[in-house]
Amino acid sequence: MTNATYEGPLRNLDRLKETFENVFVEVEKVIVGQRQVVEEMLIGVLCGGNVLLESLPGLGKTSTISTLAKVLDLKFGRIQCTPDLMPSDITGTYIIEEEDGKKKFKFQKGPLFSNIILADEINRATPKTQSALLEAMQEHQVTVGNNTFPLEEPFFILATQNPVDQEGTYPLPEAQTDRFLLKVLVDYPKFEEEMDIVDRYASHTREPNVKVLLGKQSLLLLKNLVRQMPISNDNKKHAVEIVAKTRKFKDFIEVGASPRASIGLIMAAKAKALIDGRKFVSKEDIEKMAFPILRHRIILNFAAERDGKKPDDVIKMLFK
Amino acid sequence: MNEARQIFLELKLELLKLVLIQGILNGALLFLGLYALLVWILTLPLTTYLLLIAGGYVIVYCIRELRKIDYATIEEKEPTLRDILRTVYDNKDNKNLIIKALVEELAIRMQEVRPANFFNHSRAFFKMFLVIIIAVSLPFISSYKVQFAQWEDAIRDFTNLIPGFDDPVQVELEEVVFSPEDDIYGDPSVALLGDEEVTVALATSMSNIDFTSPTEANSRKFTDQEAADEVYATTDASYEESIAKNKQKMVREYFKNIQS
Repeated sequence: MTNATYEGPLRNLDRLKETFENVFVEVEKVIVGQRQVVEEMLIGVLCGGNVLLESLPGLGKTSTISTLAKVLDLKFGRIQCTPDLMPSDITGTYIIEEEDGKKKFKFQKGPLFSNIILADEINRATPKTQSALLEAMQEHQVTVGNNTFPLEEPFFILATQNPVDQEGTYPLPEAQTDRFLLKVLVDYPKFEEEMDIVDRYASHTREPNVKVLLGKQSLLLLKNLVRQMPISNDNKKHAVEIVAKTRKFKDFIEVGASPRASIGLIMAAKAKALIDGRKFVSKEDIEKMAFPILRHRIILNFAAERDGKKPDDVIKMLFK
Repeated sequence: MNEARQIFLELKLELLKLVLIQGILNGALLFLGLYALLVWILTLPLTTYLLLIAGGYVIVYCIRELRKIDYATIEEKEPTLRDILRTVYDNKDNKNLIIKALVEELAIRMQEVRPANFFNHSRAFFKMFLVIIIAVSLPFISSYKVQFAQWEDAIRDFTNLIPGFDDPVQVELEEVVFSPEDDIYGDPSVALLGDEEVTVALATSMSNIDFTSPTEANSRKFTDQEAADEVYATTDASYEESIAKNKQKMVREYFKNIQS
């Protein structure tokens, strides 16, 4: 990290939009396109939630999250999930250390003790390891033996899943995918973007430097601001109605979303408004955030699958 | 929220001017239209009444339109303010940093609301155009005037046609001229008089005319002033000769015989 020019406590709300825009510009120095992916990751950080990323290999997931961690001045940890990965591999374990001629157990922290964690291919880890990760996600703490170790704030996990090559995997059950605030889909870049990627990475050897724009304290302040973001009763009602409809829309939905989705939708809409530099939540914020909030929380029935409908198609129907 | 309310009242005052203009335009159009039809064409003396009607319409219109202007009207004309207005109202009890900043932003945005957005310019120009057209056309439609100036007489003539309708003036006249006991044909003794032979005797002593020695009439020149305006003769009774049947043939052939 070089050129730490991050701002201190944000005094002027009107400068927020500019600040976030600069974050995107800095990330775009390394990652071409994928602005919506970066925005949704940022929303996850600001809401104190975790993000499930569904992406094919080679689309820059690791680069994106590590660059974001640099811009936000957060400690980054990466966990490559494999079937033989043990919970202690990610949480940490006690090791015997000799000090002053005496041997004692000392807790060695695992990669979970970072601010931003990339859990790559979480569906490859065993359910036991997945549960250790999920405890960290939910409780922001790690339990090893009889001891509980809190995790440093802000804490954010980005878990990835490969939509193909599902052999030998342990898909996350719906009850656990519900704990992720957002599910982000990463698509292939456009032709012009791919040309730009090739120009950058097939010609230059050095990765461009990014500036640090926001620190931990600023992020904590922003998280607090997200909760304070006002929302009108109409829009609140609209958000809850959308989630409630998922439970009633039996034409295509087998199982709808829980009230956790309502909380997540309103929080995400607030974060979206803050990133856009507004001081209020609009109806468009709610409808835009409904997709990443709900797509992993609804189970489609056979009629939807027969008609070739995807979760996003069904979610769009809920707005009418 | 109080600042927003104050700005809203200021906006309403600005809009009052526009509402007045619209009301006066509508009133002028109403007045001119009715004037052209009722006073100019039908020549009815209703100018004062029309002025009162138009004036009353303007007042009612202004009051009604001003009552319609509320936050909902602003939301409709300025959709971008809708979310802000509702968010501020729903969170008026919260005093956090963002709410305070939002209220300030609302006050600034309300000041930027243009009263002209509430005014339909094309409709106003169309009405002004109509007013001018009607005013200019009035002299040209004079030829279509209908003489309803004697409308009182016309109404009386019409009502007289209605059976059982008693015009109080006509009833008085009838009571003066005709008494209930009189026969409409007059005194029966006059009718009987026509069947009798009447001997007329002139009292010559009471007259200075000498009937025994008639003289030639003096010639006179009759001028226009001496001639009657209208000289006509009417028969007040039909004349029928009572000739005996055996003598009727002789009378018919009399003039034929004297010519031959």
